[in-house]
Amino acid sequence: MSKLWLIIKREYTTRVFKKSFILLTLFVPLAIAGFSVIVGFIMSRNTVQKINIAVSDPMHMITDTIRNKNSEIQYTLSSSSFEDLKESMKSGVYQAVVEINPPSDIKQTNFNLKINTDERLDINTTESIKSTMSKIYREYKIKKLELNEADINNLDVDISLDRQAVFQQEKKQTNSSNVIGAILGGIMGVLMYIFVLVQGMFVMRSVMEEKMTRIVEVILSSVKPIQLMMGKIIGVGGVGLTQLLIWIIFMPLVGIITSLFFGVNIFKARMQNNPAMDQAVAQAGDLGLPNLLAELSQVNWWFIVPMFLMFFVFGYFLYASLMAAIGSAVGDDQAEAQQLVVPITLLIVMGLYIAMAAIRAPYSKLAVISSFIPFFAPMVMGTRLAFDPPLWQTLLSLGILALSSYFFAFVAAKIYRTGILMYGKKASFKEILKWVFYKS
Amino acid sequence: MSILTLEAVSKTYQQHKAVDRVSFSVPTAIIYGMLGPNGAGKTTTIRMITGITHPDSGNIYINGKRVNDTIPPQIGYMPEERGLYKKMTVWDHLMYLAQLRGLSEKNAKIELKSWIERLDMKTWYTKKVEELSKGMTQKAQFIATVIHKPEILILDEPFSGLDPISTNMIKDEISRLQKEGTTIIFSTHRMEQVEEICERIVLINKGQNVLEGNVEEIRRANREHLFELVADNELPERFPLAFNELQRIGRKVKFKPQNHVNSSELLQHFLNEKIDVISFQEIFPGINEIFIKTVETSNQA
Repeated sequence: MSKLWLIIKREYTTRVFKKSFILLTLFVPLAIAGFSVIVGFIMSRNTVQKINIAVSDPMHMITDTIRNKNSEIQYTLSSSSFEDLKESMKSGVYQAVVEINPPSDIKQTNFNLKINTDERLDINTTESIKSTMSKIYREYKIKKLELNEADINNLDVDISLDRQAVFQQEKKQTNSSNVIGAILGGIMGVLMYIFVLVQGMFVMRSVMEEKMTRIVEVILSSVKPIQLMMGKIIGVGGVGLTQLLIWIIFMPLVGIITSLFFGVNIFKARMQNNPAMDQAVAQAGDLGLPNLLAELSQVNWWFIVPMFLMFFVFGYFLYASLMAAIGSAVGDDQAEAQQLVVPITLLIVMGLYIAMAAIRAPYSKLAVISSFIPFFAPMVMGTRLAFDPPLWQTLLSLGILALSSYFFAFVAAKIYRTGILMYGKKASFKEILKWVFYKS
Repeated sequence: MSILTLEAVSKTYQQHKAVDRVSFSVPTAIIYGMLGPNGAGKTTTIRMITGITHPDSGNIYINGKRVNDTIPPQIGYMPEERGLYKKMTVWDHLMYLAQLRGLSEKNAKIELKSWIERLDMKTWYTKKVEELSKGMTQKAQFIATVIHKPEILILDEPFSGLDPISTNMIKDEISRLQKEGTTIIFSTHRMEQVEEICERIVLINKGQNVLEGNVEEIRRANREHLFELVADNELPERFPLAFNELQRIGRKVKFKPQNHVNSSELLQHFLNEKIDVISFQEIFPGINEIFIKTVETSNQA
């Protein structure tokens, strides 16, 4: 059995068979589900105030009933003036009186209505009242102008674009395939981000621990530093992949169960902090399940999945090597480690933001150029893969990333080799750079 | 036949010459001491022998084969800064290190079982490293160093932080291994241990070797003609022979003859003076004194 394999095996098994790993792996999907249920519960509560409103309409502007979709707010039409309704307000029949008057000029579009109340109205209630009032004015105008309601509704049209390639041979791209791309790309970008960040940190901490417990010199009298570093990176990466796989299998299950039992869609709840994704998810909802499944089967999985995995692996190697180098240089100083990690974390976060922008504009200059910058490529190209980018861009991006990850692993190994055996004194950034050029 | 030879080995870190043309050779199956003050370059020298770092210039040979850029598998190394993975059990840990040393899983198991038996570890080898006492940890570390039956065993400050029981255990194991043919190099700045166990030594100061050779020969070569006499009867007030009396406690006297006389002549003289000699010997200087003297002269140079 090769030494590298032994190291990988140790890194993997000591982590995966740890109680905390098993608990965390099972707990996170459940926690997310639980959290979503609670958030969904809070969000689904009707936040509009319960209130009875009298609409004072002495000029008989309203001929119909007041249509209102919010059951918490009760409207009562009255031809009495506010002064006459004051008594009923005092006895508590109404909490508010809104005065309406037909506009003198039919072209007027801004109206300032008076609502007489001692209640403090929250935003939702105010918005609801405003929208009801604006409907009243609209209906009044339609009637006055002798228009037909149905005709007006027919004025609004919806357009969807089906792109049809002219000279290039490619599969038909529909509006819905963009939606699929957005969801898929978003998921891939976020996965890449979380994985690189979390596992990279694990690599760093593990290197620091090895240096701190002084085990490293014992190990290094048996194996080369590069073997130890690579073994660690691969082993920790394997642990992350295992966790990811468990979650990929587990999450939809948990999602289905929660939506069955609590009627909460956890996928919708998760995406709320990302407008682009949110929109896409909403559109996907509109497509309907059969359409969605048909589109999913149209995706070129045989290309996307292996490509994604390659970006995944190289991206992870790139960042994990840098993290390992930092871990070896700082030893037991947590604060110093944090400082050195910040620039790297910033790169990863920037990559994620560009990737999120790439969901809206996967062929933009920003997205294309970022795909060729190795620090952003894993996230950005990972996202763009779902949008069927030109082949040369995918391959060039992957090539640059692969070469860079090799280069940075090489540089990191040099730093690691020197740093891991340095005890006591703090190394400045300049010194660390010098280590790169040391002869072993 | 020397098992290990260093030939003008040097290593520079930035501007600092950590090791500067160090040469020595270690004969097979002896206990060899590597001495020097803190920061003299002992650990760097050892790291080069074990292949953890590589020399900038010079050569290292093991059994006549140049090993400059390799990790020689014949070596077992217990560093001064030694640790273990806290969360692993003793068994898993030693199996891991044994296999890294090139033992097959099967052989590692056999070896480990016999060590557990010999060092009386049956009650705790399934425990995690973090649950062990210091003495237990040290036993485990020692096994990790020797489990692959190295030809050369390198121990860097092996007794630092050891309790007397562990010290004795390691001493016993060292002499047992030496009898079985293992060459032992051990690095320290504690001189009394050197005199006690080492046959040959090399003295390193400021990255250079300043003294090398057999312990007894070094002591003989550095002798200052000091003698000690213990008598059974009263000693005379003054000895007629010309020598400086350095110390007299009761019937014991330390002295240094002014002229060059050998011990037989001195003894003859005492017998003529009717002194009942209980013991009479020339005092060789301790390695400690030689060490301090050599380091001081080499620092002045």
